[in-house]
Amino acid sequence: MVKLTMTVNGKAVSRDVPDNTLLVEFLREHLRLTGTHVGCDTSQCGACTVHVDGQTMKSCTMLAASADGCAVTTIEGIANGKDLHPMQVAFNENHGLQCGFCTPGMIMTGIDMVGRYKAEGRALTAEAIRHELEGNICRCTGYHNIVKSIEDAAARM
Amino acid sequence: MSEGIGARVKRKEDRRFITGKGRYTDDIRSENQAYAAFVRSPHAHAKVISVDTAAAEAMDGVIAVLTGPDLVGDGIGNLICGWAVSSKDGSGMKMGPWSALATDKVRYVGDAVAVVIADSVAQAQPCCRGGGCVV
Repeated sequence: MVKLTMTVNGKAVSRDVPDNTLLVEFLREHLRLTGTHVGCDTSQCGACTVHVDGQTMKSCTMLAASADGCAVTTIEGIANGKDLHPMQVAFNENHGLQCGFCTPGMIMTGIDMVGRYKAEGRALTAEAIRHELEGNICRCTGYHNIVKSIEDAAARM
Repeated sequence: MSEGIGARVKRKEDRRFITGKGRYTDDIRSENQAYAAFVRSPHAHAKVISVDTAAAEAMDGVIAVLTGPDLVGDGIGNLICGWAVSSKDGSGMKMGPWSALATDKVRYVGDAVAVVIADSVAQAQPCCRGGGCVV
C-alpha cells in the first residue's frame, strides 16, 4: 500500500491504495470519478485522457503513485459550476458525440491542443486537429464533427 | 437553416456525457459485485481442443470459470439477432447459431473461449493470461 496525496479538480484528496494502482483506477474506483473511461486498456484509445499538472496523460498508462503530489484535472473538473467549458459547449453544438464514451478523452485532448497552439501562436487548422487526435479513437462519429467542435471551441477560447 | 428539413437539431442527451456524468455499465458498482474477464482466442480460425479451467479455478477470489460447453449444459441459447425480419412468405429469418462462448471452434482473433468470474477485476484478469486453454 502507498499513501497518495494529490489535488483532483481543485480538491485535495488523500488515499491509501495498492502500489500497482493505475491513475485511472485511482480516479474511477477510489474517488468514483467515472467520467474518465477505460476503452482499450492498452493506451491506444485515449478515452482515459486527463490533465496531470496541465499535461494530457493517458491515465491507464500511468501509476497513481507517479501522480503523487500532482494536480489532476478530469472531465468532471473543467466546467465552472453550471457554466460549461467552451470545449463542452462546442461538442454539444456541433454534434461532436454520439454514444459519448470517447468524449471525455476528446474534450481533455481538445482543451490541451487549443491551449498549446494558442501559447505557441500557431494556427490550429483542421488538418492539425486531425493529426493531434491520433491518440484518441472514436467508433461512432467518423471524427468530422469532433474536428468541427474543436475548431469551434478554439474560436471561443 | 433554422427550421424544417435540414435544420440543426441540438441533442438533448449530451450534458451528462460532456460533463462525465454518463452511467455506462462499467461505472456501476453494487455491493458484493463480482467481476468478469474473458479468455479470448489468439487465433483467427481454430478448433478448440480443450479448455483446462482447474488452474484458474484454484486462484484467489475466483468464483467460477465458465466455457462454451457450460453454456450449452445450462441450456443457455445462442446470441440473438436484434432485428430479425420475416421473409415475404412469412417464414422467420434464418440465423446461424452464435454462442456467447466458443464451443468447438473459434472464428476470429478475440473470439471468447471462457469467462472468469471473480471478486475483483485484479483477481479475474490474471486468470485469463497464460491459462490452460488449448486451441
